[in-house]
Amino acid sequence: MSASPKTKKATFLPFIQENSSALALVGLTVLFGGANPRFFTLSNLFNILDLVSLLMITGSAMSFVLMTGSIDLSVEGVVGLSGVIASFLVKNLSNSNDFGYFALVVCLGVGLLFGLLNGAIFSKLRIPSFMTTLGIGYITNGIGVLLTKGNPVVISDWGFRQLGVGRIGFVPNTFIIGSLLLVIMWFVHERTFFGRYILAIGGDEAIARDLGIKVERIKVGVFGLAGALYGIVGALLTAKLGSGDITAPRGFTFDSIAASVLGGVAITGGIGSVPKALIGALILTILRNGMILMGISPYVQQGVIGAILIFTVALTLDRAKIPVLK
Amino acid sequence: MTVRILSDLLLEMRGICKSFPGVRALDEVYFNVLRNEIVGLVGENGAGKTTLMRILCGIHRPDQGEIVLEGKKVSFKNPRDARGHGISMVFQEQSILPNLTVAENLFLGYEGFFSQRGIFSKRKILAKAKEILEEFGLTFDPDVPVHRLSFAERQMLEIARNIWSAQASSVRTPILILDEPTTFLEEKEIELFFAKLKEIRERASIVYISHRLSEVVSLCDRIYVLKDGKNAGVFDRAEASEELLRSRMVGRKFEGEYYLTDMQGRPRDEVLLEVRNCTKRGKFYNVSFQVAKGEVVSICGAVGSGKEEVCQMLFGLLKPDEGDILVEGRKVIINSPEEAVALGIGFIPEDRRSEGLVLNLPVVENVTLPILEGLRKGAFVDSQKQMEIAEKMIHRLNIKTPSPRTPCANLSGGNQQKVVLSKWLVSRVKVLVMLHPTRGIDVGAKQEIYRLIRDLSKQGIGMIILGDSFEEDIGLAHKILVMKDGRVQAVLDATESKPTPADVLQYVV
Repeated sequence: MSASPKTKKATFLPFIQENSSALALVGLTVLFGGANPRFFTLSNLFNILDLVSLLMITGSAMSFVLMTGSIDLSVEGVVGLSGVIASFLVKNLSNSNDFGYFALVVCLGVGLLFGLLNGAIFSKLRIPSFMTTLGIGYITNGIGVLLTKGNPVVISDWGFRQLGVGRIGFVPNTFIIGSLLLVIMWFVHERTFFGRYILAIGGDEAIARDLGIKVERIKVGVFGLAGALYGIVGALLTAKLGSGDITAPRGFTFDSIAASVLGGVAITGGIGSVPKALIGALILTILRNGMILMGISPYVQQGVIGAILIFTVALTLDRAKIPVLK
Repeated sequence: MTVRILSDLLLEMRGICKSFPGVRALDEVYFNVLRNEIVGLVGENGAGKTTLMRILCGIHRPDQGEIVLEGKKVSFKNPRDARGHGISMVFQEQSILPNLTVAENLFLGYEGFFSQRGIFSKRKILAKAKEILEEFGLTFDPDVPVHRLSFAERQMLEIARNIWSAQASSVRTPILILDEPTTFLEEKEIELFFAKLKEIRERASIVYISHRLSEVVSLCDRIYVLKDGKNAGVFDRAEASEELLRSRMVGRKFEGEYYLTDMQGRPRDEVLLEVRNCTKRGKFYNVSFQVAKGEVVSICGAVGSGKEEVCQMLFGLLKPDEGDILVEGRKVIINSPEEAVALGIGFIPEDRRSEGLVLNLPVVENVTLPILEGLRKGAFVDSQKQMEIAEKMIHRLNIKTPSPRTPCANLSGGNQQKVVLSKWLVSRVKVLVMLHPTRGIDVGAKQEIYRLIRDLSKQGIGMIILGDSFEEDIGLAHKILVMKDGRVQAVLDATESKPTPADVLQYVV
């Protein structure tokens, strides 16, 4: 009502709180850099960029879904199926197709299709998103196994493989593609109404609806967009590994959620941004990379990451806004 | 006041009827809004004011009757539809998104004015937001997240958004419905708020629902009174008085003994609860008082005086740094609400809807919730016994409910409060801490709550009350503690003769 001094005063504590993820990222980098001289070598930095590139795409896609207050558990299935389809379309050892880069477009389409299906089932049939996407995840995984009979499809299209393994200077191609996609995602989120509606829906769906926002349409859009990105990731993964393997993206769902949460995207919706998802993906990747360099057992690594994830949520979750946890 | 002619007629609601299962909420109600006026709408809880307004803003649909807006018959399918016609309601819960910025909230759903392709320029939006905020005399930064604004600021933001967006969709005179807008405002904010409303009247019509009759009388140009779902009079500002409105609302002349002081019993000698030199640094210092059996102790003080914190301490929500709490002479440490309940201390929160009741559960379940353990029959709950207890309470507290199985959400505010009270009664509480027990409750129901407090006092239950007004505190209490800046300034006796509000006020400020 009147001029409120507290809206302007920026104190130290809120700064820390709002930038805690970025600070954690810097802290981790310094920690691992100090602990092991190999961390800051050019080849390791390249390694990190290579590792983070697919995760930052699926992570930002997941962050969109989380920001609306939903969740998407179909990442592994959709990425895997798209990867398998990519391997059948490019030059490969199983059939005589040779569609080259066009496979990337088909993968995008396949991902988009299943994403839209996720969104439509979830919002039109009103089935909770975690159930819907879990189901679609199983269905896509099943189709992938059927198509490949469980065996990886080896590809021999060297041009296509460059998407996954090539580099410009010291920067992996996957990282360049990932960065481009993230810039688009960032723009969509910050500069379009679609992007703002995502936060509005996550903030309070009923209010958004009353203000005339077409909530269902936005939700379907968000799941569709996420699916399209999973499709691209599937193609890139196949290019990277040299084969289409339905089991290749194991762990992608958990990593995408973890990256979003570590970056400060609220699992309860309404809070988040693309830079946050990127920071989260970097934290997760550097954490793994640093632990490997320090010789920590992979089994312990998994435990550490799980513990950090719970710890992060415990620190950041605003329980005051949630009457009951389910 | 300017003389209004018939062409000023903006909205007409004619012969509106609405029934809910078991209740006839509205019966042939008429309601008009003129251009650029503030219309008051008063009535007891359950009189139908909220239902009428919910119909107007598209949440409910009338069973019968018609709504005529600017001479054209309209019917709204949903709130969005009503909004499109410039009619919107501002609830206490606020339809504003705390996670978005001020500017984003202002334009949410109305971005079409900025762009065709869904892409916007942040600079342009901020500039436009600043312009709109200035029009309404609001000085906060449009780029700040709304959760950093105060309640009053958010309320004004919502009002500004509703009027701006209606006028941007070329509605000449928007209708703004305000539901108890001053409940959570401080004294100073209320004054400012009224000044703003009078400015807004120049560009919109306002429907003002309130229990605070003094506000209605001083603010509104015309006042509608509803009683039991029917019209009970329309008054111009010139002829309306609090007395008149109150008598129309309850349907009889309002009699003096508002606080039922003749029913006041005497506290007994036995001390139930003692607070001894308690200090919580930054909140309150060196607070001491006793509550005897059957005694009602009111704590008066401005916001920030520490009175709320003292109550929180008694319910284990806040631990004192120093000092002791004694229950029936025994030193206790209260770590949590569970422990408070085990010691016989009950708590009636300010926000009964979210903290005091499980709204979707029936009355019977709510009443017996604290004693379910005691109603066990093998592995099950003895539902017959449960029902008996609930029926007893419904009778004893005169809870108006179609049946014990009706969900609490369907009861009026006053009756919900009674269910909250009954919960503590069945669990045999010794001391009740009540924060604003009559807030948001209409005059008639208030008196029933007062009567209940008298009853409880006679049964020997000790009570600590934070009332809604000095009059209420004085009227109800045997003893008044006045706090200021965390310290007890005075302890006034109110058993033999009642102090005046001025007596209390001198210690508050």
